[in-house]
Amino acid sequence: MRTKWMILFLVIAVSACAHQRSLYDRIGGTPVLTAIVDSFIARFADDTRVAPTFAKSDIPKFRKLIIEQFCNITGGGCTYTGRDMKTTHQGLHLTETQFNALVEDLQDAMATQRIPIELQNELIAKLAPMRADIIHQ
Amino acid sequence: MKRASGFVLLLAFAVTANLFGADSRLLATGGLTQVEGTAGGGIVPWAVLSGYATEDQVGGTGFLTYVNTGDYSLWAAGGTFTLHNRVEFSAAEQRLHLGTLAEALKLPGAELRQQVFGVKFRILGDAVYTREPQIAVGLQYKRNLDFAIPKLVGAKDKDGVDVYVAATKVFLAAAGGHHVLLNGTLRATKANQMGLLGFGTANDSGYKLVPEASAAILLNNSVAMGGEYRVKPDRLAFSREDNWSDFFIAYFPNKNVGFVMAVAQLGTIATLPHQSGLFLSFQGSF
Ligand code: HEM
Repeated sequence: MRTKWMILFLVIAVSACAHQRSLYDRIGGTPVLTAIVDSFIARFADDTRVAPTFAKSDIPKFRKLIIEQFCNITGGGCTYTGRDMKTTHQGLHLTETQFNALVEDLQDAMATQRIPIELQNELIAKLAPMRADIIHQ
Repeated sequence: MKRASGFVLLLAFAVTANLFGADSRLLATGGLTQVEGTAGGGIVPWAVLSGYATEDQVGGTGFLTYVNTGDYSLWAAGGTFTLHNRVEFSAAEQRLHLGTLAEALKLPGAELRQQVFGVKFRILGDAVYTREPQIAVGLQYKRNLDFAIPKLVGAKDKDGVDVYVAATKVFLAAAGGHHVLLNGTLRATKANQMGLLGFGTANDSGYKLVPEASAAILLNNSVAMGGEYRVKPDRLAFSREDNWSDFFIAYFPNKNVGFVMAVAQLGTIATLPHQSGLFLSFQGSF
């Protein structure tokens, strides 16, 4: 009984310090991030919970900025040249539902690109803290 | 059978209500349904609310659970309704077949039934997205329907209210890239064996504070594995009451259904020691 809990704890502790290379490298760099973003855009363009918000947006510009942002937050060393998340999503009045929908579209896009679940989760973990600046603005 | 058809109705309702599109929380964040009918693990209530509804949606679940320890078997069934990821209402019925004990008491076929009506409020936080954990408080009003046996063995009341506060946090990509869920619950209760053996005793009918905890790891977007521990009061003189634990594996093929298989260790129940066995649960969510 107690040993099982110990093992669970050890698994958590050991894996927490096992990271050597950046997430950017482990995912496969800009070519793979670009493929993810392209699948992602294709998905949310068909997602009625999300698509209407992008109706008036410049998608090629969004594509370039989101690739930069993903490269930046995964440790790829790119400079993100877009606006901060709060300013960007100001006035869009995004809901929790829309946020979750977009996360699902991204998960689907990563699955389509055969990104291992552990790396998918790491990218989601880097985006999750931005939620407070994105919804209800 | 009347109850079984009620359950089918509930499931039909669950499927229909899915048309409202309350499917927007992430997979597995609706939790399972614990044995008293609220969102949680197998035996511990969590701070998450059942179903996948977000702040602008309604949702809920129907569930059916079966536990068999050899000497006893327990059926539990019920449903929940969640409004705007803020408040969850639940109703469940438990039936404990006394098996071995019934024969010893020369009461073949005897069973203990109770109903549990619950309400749970999310106070603050989001288990997945906020830095602070999701915190909820809940009540469970329990009504024993077969009080003769509990009364015989020393229970004072046939109904009672449990009050609990729960904190749940999902640590994203925390264990080798896998999400980890931790939950802690503190419950004030008068119940003997969850209420199946009534509430309080003649000389001890105050509330007792008992801690409960769960830990789970999400192996991928549809399989979770974990364990739980639930401290129990031990008041009735005729038999000891032990703490409970379980190890579970849960499978969510999609947002509408979930399956749980667990091994539950329930200790001594009404004089019969070493009660452990298989715990199976099915839930439909909307
Ligand atoms: C973690 C989640 C999100 C991230 C990391 C993110 C990131 C970004 C970035 C980098 C930009 C471009 C910034 C710029 O134009 O300077 C952008 C723009 C935009 N985002 Fe998000 N976003 C997120 C969630 C959402 C959600 C949930 C929606 C709506 C469903 C949304 C709708 C938009 C729209 C409509 C634009 C374009 C705004 C414009 O045309 O000026 N975003 N986002």
